[in-house]
Amino acid sequence: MDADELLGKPVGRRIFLGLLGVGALGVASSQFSFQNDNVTADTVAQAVPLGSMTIDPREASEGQHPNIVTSERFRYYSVGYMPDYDPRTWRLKVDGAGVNSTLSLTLDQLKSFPNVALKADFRCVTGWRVRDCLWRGVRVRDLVDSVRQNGNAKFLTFYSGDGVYTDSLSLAQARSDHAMVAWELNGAPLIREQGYPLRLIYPDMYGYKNLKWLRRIEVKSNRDVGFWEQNGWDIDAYVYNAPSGS
Amino acid sequence: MVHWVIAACFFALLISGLGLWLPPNMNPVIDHREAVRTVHLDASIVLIGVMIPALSRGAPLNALWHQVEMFTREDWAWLRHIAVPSRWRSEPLPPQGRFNAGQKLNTVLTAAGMVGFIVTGAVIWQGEHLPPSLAAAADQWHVWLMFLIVPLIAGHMVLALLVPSTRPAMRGILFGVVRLDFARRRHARWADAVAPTTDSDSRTDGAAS
Repeated sequence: MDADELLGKPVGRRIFLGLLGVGALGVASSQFSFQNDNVTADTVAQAVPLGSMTIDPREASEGQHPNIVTSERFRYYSVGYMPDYDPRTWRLKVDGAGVNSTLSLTLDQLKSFPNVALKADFRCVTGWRVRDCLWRGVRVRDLVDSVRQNGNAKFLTFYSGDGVYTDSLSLAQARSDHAMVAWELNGAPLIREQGYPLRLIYPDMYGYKNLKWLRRIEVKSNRDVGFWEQNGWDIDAYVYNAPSGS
Repeated sequence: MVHWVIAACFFALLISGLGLWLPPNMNPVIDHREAVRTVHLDASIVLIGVMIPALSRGAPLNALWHQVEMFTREDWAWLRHIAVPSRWRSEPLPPQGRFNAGQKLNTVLTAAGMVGFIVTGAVIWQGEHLPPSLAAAADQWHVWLMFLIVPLIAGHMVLALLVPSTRPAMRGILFGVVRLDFARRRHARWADAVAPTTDSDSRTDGAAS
């Protein structure tokens, strides 16, 4: 260390410590803005009356599709092509070794099941989220309970119409009040990128579990490992600290 | 040696970090998340494992840090002058010690960024045992830190590898020495202190680490 430096002041240390302080304050204030992300199984989604599913007039007046919220946008990922919807051939199938009968439903037949509406934030595992999405659909449990289950009914595998993407839930998870197959978001049909005409919605888990272009639900005794889970993502992708074994 | 381990860790962390962060449609390694996560964690462990002993009392980096954190009046004058493009500068840059004020500032900012990365990274790593809002905030700041640190490192590399007037300093990190004429030109205070006689053939000890 030369004499000149001895005459200096440890400004670098002050800048260093100051930056750490600013960083700590920044993280603390960011945490405050994320406070409503401290969700639990009880608060992650709320059932809402079907009558509340109206199109946001601001969005409609801007000529935008109501599903595309301006400030918090959905980002669209797909691993294959986006399948077309042909009402003449499109069916939702419920089958598998865990059931003694099967279902094959047109979209209109599916819509005749008891409709439910759910308000929940949509959270992507990569960090983005869209708050207060209003989904309309049918509970998964109403579908699987309408077929005769047998002792092999432990897990559900969901198949996308793209022929590639699959994901799974345990039967217990799928029987949650929050697990639904949805065809409507914010009062309008899903757009193609969001899984038109039908997708799985389970806001307790990150978006990649919410399979798009749903075409088949297989009820079975073993758990299939889904597309992203084969690449290291969690099978149980809870957005909150779920108790182990849940 | 420490410098090159840190540099290798930086690139391993940057590339694996992008592999963990980029969305699926822009991410060529998305299918290998488990391996990418392992690389990211292992590289951070190596980095911390190298930095702690290197910064401990009596170790070479510890001594360098004491030089880096001291800012003299000439350092402040240098920072004021360097902000003015050289063609409009009315007087030459004030003479500098072994590290000029820009290098000192870069080191301090990078060091603070590294601590920020380690702290926010540890929170993300253990996120499932912490409040989700804290993990989400740490995740956001980890990404913001990347946007702060990458320009700093990029600037460091451009000056070391490409800019003709600063490129001679590269010899210091490669061989532990720099040419005395370069030291007299860019780090006159230091050159005067370690080699007071004028001898253009002699060399002076560099910032080997």
